[in-house]
Amino acid sequence: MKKAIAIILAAGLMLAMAACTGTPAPSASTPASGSGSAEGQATRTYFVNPKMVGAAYWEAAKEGALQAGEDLGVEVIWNGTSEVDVAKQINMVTDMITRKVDGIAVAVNDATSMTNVFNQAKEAGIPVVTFDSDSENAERSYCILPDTDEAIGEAFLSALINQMPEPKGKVAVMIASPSAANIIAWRDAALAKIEADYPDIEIVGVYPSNDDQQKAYENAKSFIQANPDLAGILCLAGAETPAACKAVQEAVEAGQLEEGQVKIGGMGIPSLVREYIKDGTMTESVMWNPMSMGYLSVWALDQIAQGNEITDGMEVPGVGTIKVEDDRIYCGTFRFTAEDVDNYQF
Amino acid sequence: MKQHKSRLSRIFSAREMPIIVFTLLVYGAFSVMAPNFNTFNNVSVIAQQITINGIVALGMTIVIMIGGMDLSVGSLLSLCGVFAGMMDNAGLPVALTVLLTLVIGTALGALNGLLIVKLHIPDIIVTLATMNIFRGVAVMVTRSQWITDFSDAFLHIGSSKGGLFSIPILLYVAVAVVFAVCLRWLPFGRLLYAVGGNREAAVLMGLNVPSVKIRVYAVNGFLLGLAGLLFASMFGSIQAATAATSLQFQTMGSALIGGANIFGGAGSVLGTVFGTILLGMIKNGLVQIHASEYWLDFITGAVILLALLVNLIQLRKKGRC
Repeated sequence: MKKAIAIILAAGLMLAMAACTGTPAPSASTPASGSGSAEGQATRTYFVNPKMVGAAYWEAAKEGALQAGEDLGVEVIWNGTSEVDVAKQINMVTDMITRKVDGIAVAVNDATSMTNVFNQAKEAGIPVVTFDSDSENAERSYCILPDTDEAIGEAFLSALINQMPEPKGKVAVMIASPSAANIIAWRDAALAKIEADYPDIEIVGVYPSNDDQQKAYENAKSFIQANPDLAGILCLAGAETPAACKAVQEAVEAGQLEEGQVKIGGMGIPSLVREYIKDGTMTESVMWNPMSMGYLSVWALDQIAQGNEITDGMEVPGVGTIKVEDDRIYCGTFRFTAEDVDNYQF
Repeated sequence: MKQHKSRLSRIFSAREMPIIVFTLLVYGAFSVMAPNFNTFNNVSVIAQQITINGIVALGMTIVIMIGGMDLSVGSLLSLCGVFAGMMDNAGLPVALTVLLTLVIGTALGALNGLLIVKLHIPDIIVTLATMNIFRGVAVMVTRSQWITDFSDAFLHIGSSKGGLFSIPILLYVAVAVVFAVCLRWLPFGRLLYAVGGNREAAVLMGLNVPSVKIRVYAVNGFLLGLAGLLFASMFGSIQAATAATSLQFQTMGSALIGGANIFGGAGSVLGTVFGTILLGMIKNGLVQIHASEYWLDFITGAVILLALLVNLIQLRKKGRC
């Protein structure tokens, strides 16, 4: 027990020391951001906070953010939690406000929980942008998104409809977390479109995996059992599509589904669906480039810091032409098939 | 006749009886509510789905039995899974990949036990630390990339081909049978009950408690190696950061529903197996009855609570608590 206490004390001491040595260094950059001059002795520092670190998707966004840092000559701190965690995200952003970075970009896990934190940032004079998923009622300058939620939801749906011989039959919808604002908005847009334009499609259910690969797969296996006459699966998150493909393949092998009976469409992260799009389990998928979003987050923060205006149709090097609507910046989606899937390395 | 009656009553008063009856009742309820629930295909789907959690829950049961607690199971599974995947990607023969993964799992499991015993730190604290360390190492070695593109031989391990006789299900049944036999009839199994039931008495009896602990955590690690292999192989891809993140709670749930005592000294293979079946069935059944996505967690929690209460009633009746 004594040893245990000693170890805990030692660990606490080390943390305290790290915290002490950590504080003075960033304060050196305060005058630069305070005076707003670009030629200050310290370079500008931006903190970019993904929903989590680890996933290939966020790694690609990281690459984009770091690339922007290099191109613009600014320092980029990329850090996030190892799994999706709202409370830890709040703490991490608060720490960076204390550290007085020059700008903060956050991929928000929960739309409402960041309001207070962003207010603190505003009071501290630190500009905030959100990317990937928004917290629209909070104090943030811009939100960097692939496209409007409506356009994304409909693009995902179109990938499924394009593959179906005719738009009718039972369709299951797979989502990641039922509390992620963007995924819910895509779901609503897709369901509204189905109701309006495809009256012969029957939605059998919406199945959340809570970002758990195992659960996504189990859900798919289970609803295939419940609906032997299933016609399609609409996947509204990256890990859902390969889970759906695997479950359908196995059901076909076991003779429970006809080959080609169930079409799978929606979001496809190229590296995860590569084998399924090549073997024909599905023929097309829709995605955006997370690298562009990472890049634009840092780029937008730097424009704000320099007092530049961001306008519709601006050309951003390495990203292309951006669409700007009010306080939203869109980088655009793309559709890919077996022919060009190998062009995407995320 | 009397003999027969007493044997029958002994079966009905078995510790595991409430949970078995409860599981059957839930099965019946789902069968009524969902037309495709009570089918041979669906039963094999459920059986296939519970294999990973089932194997890990058995390890959790012996850990809980000796009064321990392992929060690191999901992380160690993830680590073993990505190691297995990377070895397969590197072109190692499948037999060697399997062997090395099991060795790594066993060694890291034993490491948990060693840290607990040698540093005299409570199990929950050591495994809280290794939970982060194992996960961290897995994320580091994979550089956060998905590990995928496995060889056909590797994918064959977790394949669902063969229905109820697929490799994962056979492995799970084999592990459960070995566990049941060991706990009931082998000296080592009896040791676990002694260590968990009353540690002071066990020490006074001259039992080597530290050695038992290390061996239990090593066995637990072995099972996590096996589960990691199955995970990577079954899903065809594995990502270090997200694989099995809530496994510790699910498997603890299975063990406790099955009658394990969180303070040690009690636990049953049959009970844990039914605890796992119950949880797997609920997951499958809720999808089948088209339960709203906003209610899933609540319903799951409510059924778990009910299952635990059912256990309690039986214990109360026997005056054991």
